[in-house]
Amino acid sequence: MKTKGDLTFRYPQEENPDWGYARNRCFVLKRTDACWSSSLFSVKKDGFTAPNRDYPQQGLLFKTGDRYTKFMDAPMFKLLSEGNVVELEPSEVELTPWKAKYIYRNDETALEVVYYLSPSTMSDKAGGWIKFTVDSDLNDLELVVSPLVDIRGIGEESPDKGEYTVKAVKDTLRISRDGYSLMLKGDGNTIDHVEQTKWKYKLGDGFREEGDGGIRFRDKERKPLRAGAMTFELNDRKSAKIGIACGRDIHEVDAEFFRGSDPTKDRKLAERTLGKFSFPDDEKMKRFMKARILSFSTFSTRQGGIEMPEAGEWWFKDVWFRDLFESLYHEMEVYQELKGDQWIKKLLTWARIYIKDGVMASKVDKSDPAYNSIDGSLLYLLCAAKYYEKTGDKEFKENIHKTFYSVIQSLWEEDGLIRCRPEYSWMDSVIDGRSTRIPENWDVEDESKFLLPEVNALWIKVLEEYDKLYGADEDIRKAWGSFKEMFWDDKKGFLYQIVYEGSEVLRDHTESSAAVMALGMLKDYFFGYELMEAWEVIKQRLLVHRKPVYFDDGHVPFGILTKNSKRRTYMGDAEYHEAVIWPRDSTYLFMVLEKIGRKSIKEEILKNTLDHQMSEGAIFYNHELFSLPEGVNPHETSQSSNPVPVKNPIQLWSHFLTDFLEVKEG
Amino acid sequence: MTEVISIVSGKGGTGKTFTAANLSLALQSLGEQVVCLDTDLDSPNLALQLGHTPDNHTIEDYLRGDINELKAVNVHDSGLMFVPSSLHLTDDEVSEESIGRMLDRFSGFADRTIIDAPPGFNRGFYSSLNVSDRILVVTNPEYQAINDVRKIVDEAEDYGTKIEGVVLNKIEGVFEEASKKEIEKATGLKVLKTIPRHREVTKSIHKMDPVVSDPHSKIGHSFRELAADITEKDFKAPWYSPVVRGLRKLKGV
Repeated sequence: MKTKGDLTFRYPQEENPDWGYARNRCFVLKRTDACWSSSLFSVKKDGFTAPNRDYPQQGLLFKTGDRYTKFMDAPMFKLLSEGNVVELEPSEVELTPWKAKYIYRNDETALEVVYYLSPSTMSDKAGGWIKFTVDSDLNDLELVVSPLVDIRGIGEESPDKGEYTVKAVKDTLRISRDGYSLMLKGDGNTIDHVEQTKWKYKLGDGFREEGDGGIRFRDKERKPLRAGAMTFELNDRKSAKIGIACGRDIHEVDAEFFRGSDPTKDRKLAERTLGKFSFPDDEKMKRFMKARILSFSTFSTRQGGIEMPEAGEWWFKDVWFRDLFESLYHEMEVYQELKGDQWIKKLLTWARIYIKDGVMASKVDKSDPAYNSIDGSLLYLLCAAKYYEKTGDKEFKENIHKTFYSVIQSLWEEDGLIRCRPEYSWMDSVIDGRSTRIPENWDVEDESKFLLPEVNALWIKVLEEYDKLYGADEDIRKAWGSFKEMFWDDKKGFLYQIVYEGSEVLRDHTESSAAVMALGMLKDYFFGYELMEAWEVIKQRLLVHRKPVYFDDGHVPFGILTKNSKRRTYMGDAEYHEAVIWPRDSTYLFMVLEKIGRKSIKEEILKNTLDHQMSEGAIFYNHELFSLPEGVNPHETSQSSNPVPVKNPIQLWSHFLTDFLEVKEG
Repeated sequence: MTEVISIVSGKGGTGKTFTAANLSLALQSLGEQVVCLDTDLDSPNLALQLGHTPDNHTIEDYLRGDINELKAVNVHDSGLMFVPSSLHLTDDEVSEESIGRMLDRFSGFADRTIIDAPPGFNRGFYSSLNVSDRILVVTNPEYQAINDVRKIVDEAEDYGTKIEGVVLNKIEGVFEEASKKEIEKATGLKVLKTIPRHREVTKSIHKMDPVVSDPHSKIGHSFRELAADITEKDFKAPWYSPVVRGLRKLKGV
């Protein structure tokens, strides 16, 4: 990667075959309810060139109503001179957090293609533009652009050709299906020829399988439609710009409106945003962190009249409460700077309608919510308390009292601890009706009798906050006493992963990040020597290393395993919460490291996280989880010993910031 | 337990939505958690009066079964929750059972639900009477309007729904108007507040900024007093001389 200016990063257009192309880079432009993504290399087909897509969800997407709809897979294009195709080789891509520029060259010609998604999304439409600029002495230049469209819900199969209506009128192409439309408008001519194609998306939905050549991703096939074409004569003007609008009930004027969007405003806004934060002196770190802040602010979906962060891209384009409140809890000051106190207050006011009997709905859904996130309601209360601590808003404190009280009343049990189903916390995988968190050899009669260390740690913090706000300190002492007795494995110097209180009490000794989360949240309750003992366990059993690509640091810590489990290679849901690395866990590890004076380990993890952000997967964003690099790798490279990015490449709670930043005073 | 109050009127254009929006905000400012529900499907202006452009989700989406009750809830900057409406349903499609289910769900977090009911005597009006603990009638000082209020009194009696009183809106102070006394005598109801036909009201509706949001507004104070009466809480509007009021406004106090 080369850099060009403070916020522009240049990458070669290439694929990375390591671990089945797991490290392929892509750009992701994100706006409220909209996303545009492609991989950072290009492919050729039928004389046309297009940026490639490795996931079937890549392309231009927009969420209207409750449906996240894919509209365009990619624009295909070819440059002609005197009627013959000009053969151009993919060269580089320049990325800023708000636009992507692909560069193609040969000895006598260079073509730049810029993709831009407008910030002006509305509840029913979004859009942006593509600009082609050619630098060539060739004669009689003509550009042909043909959109590859696939108008469908992101999880659905592609529709057949017959379901589309394609209209080419003067300078505008309109492709519609089932009330959803994509419109392209430029200063060229249009034709309405259509042709259905087949495309293999090699990273599929992020699941993997073992084949003859080793472990690879389960690919997916879709049938996008090459729908019409636009032609532009490029002899005098050397550039062509196509406005794009997508959504429901869109018109020609919308495409023209989006074509007028101006990225210089993004730069000004970026400068204003970044001016609120302080950065380290190291130039590389500084630029990476700036990109991280700007991409953090792009998580946005509309709910309840508020624009709020969704859990991630594509299949996570909904508000998931535990993700939301974990992010808000860790990044409260950042949200205060970026969105303001009033926004946080409004969000907290709205969200409490999703708490019932002490438990939070897992996500905002159009059907009846499933109330199965006990950590969600506890994190919600911790956010509310933190908001009050930061703002001193007494009206809010009074307003939230009832919610605090009702959650505590609903969950309180005699010994001060809370019991719940094992999937009610963040390790929520259930396979064949059984939580993957329950050890395989346990016989369980009543699944509501589990005690989870991280949930009870959150609970103790909630009691502590309740005491600070309204007074009730004896409950905390009782709860902490019970916690220590229930979860602390004195022999090992660590916390159990899970405890079951059936006819006999069962305790799972497997080392886990759930224990690290509990240790982090309760770091001020444990003795220093206990945390030191626990750190030794973390270091030996859970800590995972990675060799940064852009820093000369050798193998340094990167994150921790969710569980020190025998399932050490991620394939699918069965390994989702086993021996895999979730960056989300690092924030809790930092709490422990800070407390025991191991700041240098924290700094190494932070640097390594930034390195991942800039070197693999969705550039400027963070993957949901990583597999250990174990099993047969179909194509070894110098990065093969690094954890392998799997599943979703853009995840809110992996995108922590406060640990990187010192928010400027005032 | 959530109390449900419907704001009703015998005809359109009386200022019912204006009353519902401002009363809801005034109740919210007294520390209550209020949800305001727009069931006026012919003239769905609640969201606009609260300064919100129509969002993806409205009460229609819920009534059609496309979303659950919670997804239709929006939040105003003040913390007031509201359920907007749009023009896509007819009165016949409003199911009282669905509204009842929504109110049940709101009882988990709201102290009070205010319903901006449809004007006139249609199905929506009767549903409002049925699900409400009490109603507030908004009318104008026109002699014809008295008959509408009397009909509302009769219907409410049949349904056993308590009438809180009347908000007399758009008073111009001209001889041809029905007076507060005349209305009280003819309907047997108490006029709780009188709201003048004032530029401030027109401006607030035009700017989509409710009068209660303005701490200097006298009309805003009227709604706060009404809210205090309803909740039996104390509220006394601060008194400033016109000069001091002007200076405070200039300073943005």
